[in-house]
Amino acid sequence: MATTSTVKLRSGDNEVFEVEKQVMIQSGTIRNMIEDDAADGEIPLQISSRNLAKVVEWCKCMQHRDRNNNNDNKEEEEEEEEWEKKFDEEVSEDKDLHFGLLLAANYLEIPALLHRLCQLAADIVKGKTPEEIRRTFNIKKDFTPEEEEAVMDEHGWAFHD
Amino acid sequence: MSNLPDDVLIEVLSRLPVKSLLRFKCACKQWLSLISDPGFALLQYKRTARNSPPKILLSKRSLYSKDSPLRSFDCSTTSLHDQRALTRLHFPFIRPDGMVRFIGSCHGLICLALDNYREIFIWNPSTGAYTKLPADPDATYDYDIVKYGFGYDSSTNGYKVMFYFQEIDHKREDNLQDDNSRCIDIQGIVFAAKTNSWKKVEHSFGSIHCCCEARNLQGRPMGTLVNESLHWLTNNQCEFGMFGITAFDLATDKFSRVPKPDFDYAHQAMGLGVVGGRLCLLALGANAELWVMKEYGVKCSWQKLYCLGISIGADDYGNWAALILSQCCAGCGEDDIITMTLKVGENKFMIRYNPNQEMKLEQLMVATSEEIYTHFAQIEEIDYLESLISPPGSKTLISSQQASSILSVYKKTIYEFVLRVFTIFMMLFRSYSNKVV
Repeated sequence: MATTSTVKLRSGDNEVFEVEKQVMIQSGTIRNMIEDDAADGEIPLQISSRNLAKVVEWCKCMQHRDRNNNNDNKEEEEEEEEWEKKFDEEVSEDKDLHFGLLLAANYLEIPALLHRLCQLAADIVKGKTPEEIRRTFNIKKDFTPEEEEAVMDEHGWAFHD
Repeated sequence: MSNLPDDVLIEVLSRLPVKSLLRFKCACKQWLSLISDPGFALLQYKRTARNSPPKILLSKRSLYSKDSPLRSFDCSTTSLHDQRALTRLHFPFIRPDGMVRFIGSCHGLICLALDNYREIFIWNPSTGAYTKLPADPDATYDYDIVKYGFGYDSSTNGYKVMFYFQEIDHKREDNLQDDNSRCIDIQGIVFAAKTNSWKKVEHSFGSIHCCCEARNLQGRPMGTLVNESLHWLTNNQCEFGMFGITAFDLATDKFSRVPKPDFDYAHQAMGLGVVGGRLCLLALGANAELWVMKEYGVKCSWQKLYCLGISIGADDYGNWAALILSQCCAGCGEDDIITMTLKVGENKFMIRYNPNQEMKLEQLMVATSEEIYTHFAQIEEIDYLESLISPPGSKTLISSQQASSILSVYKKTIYEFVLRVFTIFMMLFRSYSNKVV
């Protein structure tokens, strides 16, 4: 095992984040690197500094919460809830941040963050029409009008409330 | 920046409700094939099973109403009386008599019987897809069907439907009062979707005959599906008031006894159900208790989960039937919200027990005896989860074209009937006029 207690993460745009190992072991990818003693230098990541800062912030908050789980500190609990609510709001309103974090959480293997972001995405898109969903996900319609009609015919009722 | 890799996209999509997914099949070809994939359907179902409370399908059919008989009740609403909780479902089976009987529910699929069990369907109420089972060539329908169920057998990776019926010798009815001696033949049949055929169940209920329906138990004919086995409450033949739990293993097609909780005598009303994937038993008497078998097949693992604040007066003795429909949480803890239906005489109630609320009990009358007697209404209920899983070998929803061809078949039948009556009438008339001449 490495001797230092922190790990250095280098973002895609060359910003270095020094974070406690205890915080970053929530990431499967980084945990493996630490266990293989491959985390002594800087770890280069294809994640923008903005997204990486958010991921680190999230990991810190979760670790703090887990550590304080046994304490019955109402004030801190409320503070954390407030932070999570803000996080959700910020992500929901910024599609680029949301998708960037999804990719980062997937790459870094942080299941809890991935779950939260996926659930947020699902909640946002569930009421959308196919046209709106194409816009959100940058999808090109590749159906012929006949093919599209055939799919719509099959489940016509799903298009109404 | 908005192109997500497939695995992340699947993570997002598998958290969506079925209705959204059906709509999003239209987004593009990639999404259509992702959403149509059976593996995705299973993932979405597992996620729903873990995170979402079930829906309850209520079938309330009145002979005089052309309305769709099916309503789906969403258990995630905070109040039973919330009107938004009830949605009308498209009922794809056009049948003149409209008697619907639910056989069982598994993986979001509902097995139902129409026309006095002559037609059996496996239907996904969330997607509309269904499949009709072939008729059992050996079946005679002059039996009383007493137990049935539907479930999944992982050993063959297929769905199974089972019926257990008895033939009652009506000639012996006058001499013998006892149901058991009147019952002359009991047999079971099982349909395996894998082979698309019916076969006889060789194994029998053994010493605990299903025909001795307890007068005070009024056991539900539908088997409760836990651990890939169907379960029923059965009466002990030897001692009045004693009860047992009998299981039918869908893998081996064999019956066995399952240990019951540590009380012997049947309560005034009892019902089996599932809480957090575990078999549970609701016993209603002076006090209503909910018991759960924490470890399947282990007698000492039966535990009393709740004492519900319901009691039954002595006058109602024999009039109650109870069953637990569903649970709301995946866990098997103290926070679970239980939804069940209870029958008092012919009145049917939906009851919700929420241990977290001050008013723990809430009830909603689903059907009154008056409705049943004056409108010949029939009420059935079953719980299910929303899923994309296709019934084995299914077609999709009936198209309007098919529907009109079905209508034309009916018209033809009516036409033929009128023609036949007319011919008979003419024949009678001729023979009569011949005599006169």
